[in-house]
Amino acid sequence: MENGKEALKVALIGNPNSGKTSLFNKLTGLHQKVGNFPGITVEKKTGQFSRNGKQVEVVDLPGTYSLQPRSLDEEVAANAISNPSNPEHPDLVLIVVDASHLKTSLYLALQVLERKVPAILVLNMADHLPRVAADFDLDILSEELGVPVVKTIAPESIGLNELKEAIVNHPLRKSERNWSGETERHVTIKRILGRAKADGPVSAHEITRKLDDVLTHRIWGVVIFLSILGLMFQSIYAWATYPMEWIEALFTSGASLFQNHLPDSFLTRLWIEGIWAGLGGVVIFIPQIAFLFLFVVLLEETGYMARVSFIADSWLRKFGLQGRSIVPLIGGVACAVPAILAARTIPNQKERLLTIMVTPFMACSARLPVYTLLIGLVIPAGFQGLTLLGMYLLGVFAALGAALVMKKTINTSDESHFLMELPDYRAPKFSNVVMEIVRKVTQFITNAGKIIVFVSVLLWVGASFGPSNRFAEINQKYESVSVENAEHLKQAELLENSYIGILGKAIEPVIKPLGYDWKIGIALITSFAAREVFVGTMATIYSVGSADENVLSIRDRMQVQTKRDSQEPLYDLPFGLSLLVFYAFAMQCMSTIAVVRTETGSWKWPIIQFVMMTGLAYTVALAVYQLSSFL
Amino acid sequence: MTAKDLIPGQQAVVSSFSDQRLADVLAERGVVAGERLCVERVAPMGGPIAVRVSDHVLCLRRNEAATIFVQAEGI
Repeated sequence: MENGKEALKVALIGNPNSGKTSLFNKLTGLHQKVGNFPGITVEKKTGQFSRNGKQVEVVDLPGTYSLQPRSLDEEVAANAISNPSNPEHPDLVLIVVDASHLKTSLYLALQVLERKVPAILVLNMADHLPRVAADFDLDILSEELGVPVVKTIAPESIGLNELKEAIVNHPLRKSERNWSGETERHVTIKRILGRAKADGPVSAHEITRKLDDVLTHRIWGVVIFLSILGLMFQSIYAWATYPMEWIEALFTSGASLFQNHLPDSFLTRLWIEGIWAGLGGVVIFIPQIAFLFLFVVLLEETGYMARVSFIADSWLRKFGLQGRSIVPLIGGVACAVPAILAARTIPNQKERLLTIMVTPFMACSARLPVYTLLIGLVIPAGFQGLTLLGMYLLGVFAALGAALVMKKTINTSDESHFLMELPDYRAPKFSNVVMEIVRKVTQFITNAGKIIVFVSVLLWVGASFGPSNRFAEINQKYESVSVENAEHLKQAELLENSYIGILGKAIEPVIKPLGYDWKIGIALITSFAAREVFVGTMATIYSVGSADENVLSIRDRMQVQTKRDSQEPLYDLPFGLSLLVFYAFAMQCMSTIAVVRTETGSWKWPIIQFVMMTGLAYTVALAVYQLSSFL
Repeated sequence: MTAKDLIPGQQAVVSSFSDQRLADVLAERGVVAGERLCVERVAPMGGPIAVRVSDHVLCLRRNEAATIFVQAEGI
């Protein structure tokens, strides 16, 4: 830091679950942002604070056990510390040491200090622990390691001021100690712990042991896990319905309000039928996503997810996956994009690749609105919940089946190893859970939201305009006709001849065997941007030209559509089932394709994935439609 | 004998490793020769075993546990 005006660059390094992120949150408060490390999708959290007029920039490096990197995450951390020409190379390193895992934490600490970077050792404690580390002789630790030592209890903000003082007053001198070689390090750790009176035996948390007797039990463990999953789906379906109804009511009443008070013009229609409808399609997701992440974050935070991985490993191994794949797979129920990123914790290349390839089969939250709409439309009232559960199971079977097939075709020489820690159970931190949910929802709104609104507007334009000669012809034709519902017929004919209608008709021959018409064709095309666009597309298609009717919900609008040659409903059971399975299997998500590309490092895998999933979707939907129409 | 042959509750001391790559990873987690370990529990259906070692509980697959040679100390 030669330039006095530049902010001091501080990096946090520590084992996974060392309380590093909690400390980061406390240090920087709300002054933080989440991005990616340049060129790769490893999440990079940076934040600021100032003390005594000095600006400090804090980077939270990914958790790691050593500076000999074995995964992408660990490589980022290791390279930032070891390589002085790395733009992320910090002026000062905070080595976060978990007081309840001193041995393991000190191993990393010694490795960092060997790299000759200025450092502070932060002895961090989780508040729920018995204060095993309360009597540590900090002076001895400091003397042995040659760096300042500060004790913190991050969740209770204890020691934070002392830490900030230590950061801004650090002379930025390097530690002169050296411990080369593994044996040397372990000997040093033993000596330090002995001298600092921290060598006492660490006994199992009695509560953890008792809970594990039940939660990893061969029968109860499985029963409890399935019950938790059941509760998860129940809550998404039952609890999220209420806020979703309010949001829907808000947006429909908003639409009528605009309709009644704004002049009927191009801009008004663009606003109501394009932008406002698209926004509604984004906001409606928030309750579901919030509930899903509430569960996923809770399961991770409490340490339960590690137990699920522990009991699931032997099952998942049969499919070429491993225990840790359970996190991406369950996460995939929320959204495949963060779930695929979560596959990074899998050290084995083949198991990781397989997990990435099959995770998009899991019924993600973007499929949920499609499922909800279609099930409400074609499935009898008593069977709707059951059908939804069936859709989730279908996703699980598809994922496992695909893994089983691909397991035989992907060859890597990488030896598999599992090696995972079972942390003590802990009560989730309310603020951590809330922050995580807020972050996920914001990410969804900003990333997927942009696409959805954009596609919605594009669609509206495509549906409202067409080749001018055709439009002129239709307008002229209806000028002279005065049948009862002339306006309605005219609008339908206009839509059919709009740009989007022409496109939908062009693909109709391909999708006709699946039972779809050109309107569904339009929805399929737009759904390749993101599945949830389906609902918005149907809303747009059926709202075009409905300006002077009552604003109906999209389901009601679809319900009243009839087949061209009879009075039977257009959207009947064979159609519904066919479309449900199509959405269950098809790869229709630009964001997932992009993330698979970055995570696997080549276009090969997303292309294989796309062809495999969409091909399967077409085949199964075809079979389902033909069979169920026949019966 | 290896860590795989231990039964839940049994204590043992690590003597050596037969897989150097895995040994390097284990060393980072505090599993080195001379360290005491104890099998905490075993997952059903031939799944991994959970071993209390160093200052935490580590899960190892059975074939991984078979690369750790130990001296049992009785129950």
